Amino acid sequence: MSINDEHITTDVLVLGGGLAGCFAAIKAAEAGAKVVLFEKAEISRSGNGTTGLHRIPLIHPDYNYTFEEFAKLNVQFAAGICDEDVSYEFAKDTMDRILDLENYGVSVRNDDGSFTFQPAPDICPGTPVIWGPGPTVWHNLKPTLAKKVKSFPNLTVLNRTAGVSLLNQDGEIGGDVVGAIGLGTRTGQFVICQAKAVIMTTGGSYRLARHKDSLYAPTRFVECGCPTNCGEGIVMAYRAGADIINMEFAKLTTVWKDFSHWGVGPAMALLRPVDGWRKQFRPEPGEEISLPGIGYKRTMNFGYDTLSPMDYDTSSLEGYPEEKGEMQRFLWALENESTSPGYFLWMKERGEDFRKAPVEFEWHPPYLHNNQAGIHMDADGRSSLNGLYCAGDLTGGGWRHSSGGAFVFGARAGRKAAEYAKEVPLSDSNAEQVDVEKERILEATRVNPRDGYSWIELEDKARQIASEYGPPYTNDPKLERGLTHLERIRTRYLPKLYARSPREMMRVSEVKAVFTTGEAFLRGALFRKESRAPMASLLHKTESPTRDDANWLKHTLFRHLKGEMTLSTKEVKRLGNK
Amino acid sequence: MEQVKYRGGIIIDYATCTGCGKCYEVCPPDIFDFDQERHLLTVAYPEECWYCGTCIYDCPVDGALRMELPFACL
Repeated sequence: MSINDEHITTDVLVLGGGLAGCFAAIKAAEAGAKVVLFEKAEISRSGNGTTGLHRIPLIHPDYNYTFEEFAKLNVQFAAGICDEDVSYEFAKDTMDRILDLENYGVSVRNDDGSFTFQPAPDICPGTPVIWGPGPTVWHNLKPTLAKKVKSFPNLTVLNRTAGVSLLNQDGEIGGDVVGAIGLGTRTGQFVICQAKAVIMTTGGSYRLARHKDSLYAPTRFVECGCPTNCGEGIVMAYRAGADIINMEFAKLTTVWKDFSHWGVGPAMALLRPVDGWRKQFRPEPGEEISLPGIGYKRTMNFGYDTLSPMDYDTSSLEGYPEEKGEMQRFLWALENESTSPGYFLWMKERGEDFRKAPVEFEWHPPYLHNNQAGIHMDADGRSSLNGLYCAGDLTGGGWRHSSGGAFVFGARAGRKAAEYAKEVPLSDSNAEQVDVEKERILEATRVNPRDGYSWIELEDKARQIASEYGPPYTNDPKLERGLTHLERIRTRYLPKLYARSPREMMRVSEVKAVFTTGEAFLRGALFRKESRAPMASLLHKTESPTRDDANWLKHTLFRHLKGEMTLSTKEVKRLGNK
Repeated sequence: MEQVKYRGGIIIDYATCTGCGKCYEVCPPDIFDFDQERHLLTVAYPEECWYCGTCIYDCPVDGALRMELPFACL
């Protein structure tokens, strides 16, 4: 596998062509920048918007909240760990981004011009969202967005090209970001890109904790989110010296039992549970979530502490045939929720009509998805490094902005990166740093598979350790033990990861990211000496079982200093404070 | 030693598949293999299917691709 590297230059480089990356690329191109976009898959169908969305946040004083009210609510639901200014700025732009989608050819309104608001208790009970105006309309949202991306002559898309490393000025960790290295996932060719600004939009990680069937099973990529996303963007930013925050606050969510995909939201929005154990499943705005774990269980847990599957009361629905009434909405909401037509096949194979049979949910293992955890981002999509911007599911600092966050901060990052690119010269990449980063992948190609280990063995082990020792319910001795195991596996066995093909070279970058996110997940939980139960997340420490705002109303900060993961804290921002 | 065959992935109906390669172009976890010269599509990594349905959505021929769920999901 010795193909010459490709060398390219650009003003703005976008890593990841999902919902956030597409908006970033569009806005940077509209601002006149020369833009290159690396996408691991193919932009018309990639990331969590692959087969569509069923709901998009829309906050506006004409419909629901003032921006201040929304930001305050978000901070409350985040149990305080949320930069209020970021949520405020997010709310401000949601309408404009929905109007952008409309301009690009996505229908967002009903025939009479109205929006349809429905609850979405899965993404956050307090976040108002609109649903698409009719069946299957949004399942082509991504191809429509991709068409807009491809319409710019100053924008080049490199599909099947995964970002693997950032490049710093003079190769110095913590220095300005001056480019990145991409890897052709089918060619094994490196693409060395000099860029004046880089926007990281590679999504979250659905490969943090162990898949319940383990990676050895044929269900290995049956995940709630796109399995191409395993935290590489967070790790690239971390390794380049950017501030990473709150990695212990992974997302906890319920999914359909045995299918592990999202879709609980439409169920919760439209169907009433009837077994009486979830009276408080939709907390009112202002309602305090009092106890860690228990409060969360009542509000977001469907099936975790119940002993039986849940039945739904569908008597209010106009039932048969399925096309009528609320059942239609439920079905098309499911159809658009990230992954389809898998759901319909799955229900058909079961031979069950969920309107009559009990519905079962289960926990998905903890994952990283636009909760508090990720690259610390300000309201303009800036990271702590000059030249590095970010948006979407890998950002920390805001909280649960969902697809709306991808659109809003993708757009802001795109515009800001284009502005920045006008002011700075193009820098050379540091040859030594390029070699070190290439070698990080290439070393695996020299390992003899007979003496080495597969990506499956190593990734599954790292994720097993994260699951068995990490949040939500854990304690300091357990976390220390987990970190010892992780370090043992990393130092003794990870160097023998082999790669026999370009696809396996891609896995090298992924597996190394899985180890680093797992380490951060455990270290953050160890460092934080309190318990806290934000919505859709949980950390419960045996030795410190209560919330401690006096000492811990802060972001946990992770920095890559002298080759070590170093932890401290960072102030949480509130509106009105600088 | 006998190879164990697992349920799961995408099943191709070669009678109706036209070999356009669209699914190979769009699959997020890249589970297909496509011989450009012979227009021959195969499922190279069935165990890495996400069961998103993109291939079925974007396939121009009805029924050329069928999703088969893995046993653990049944």
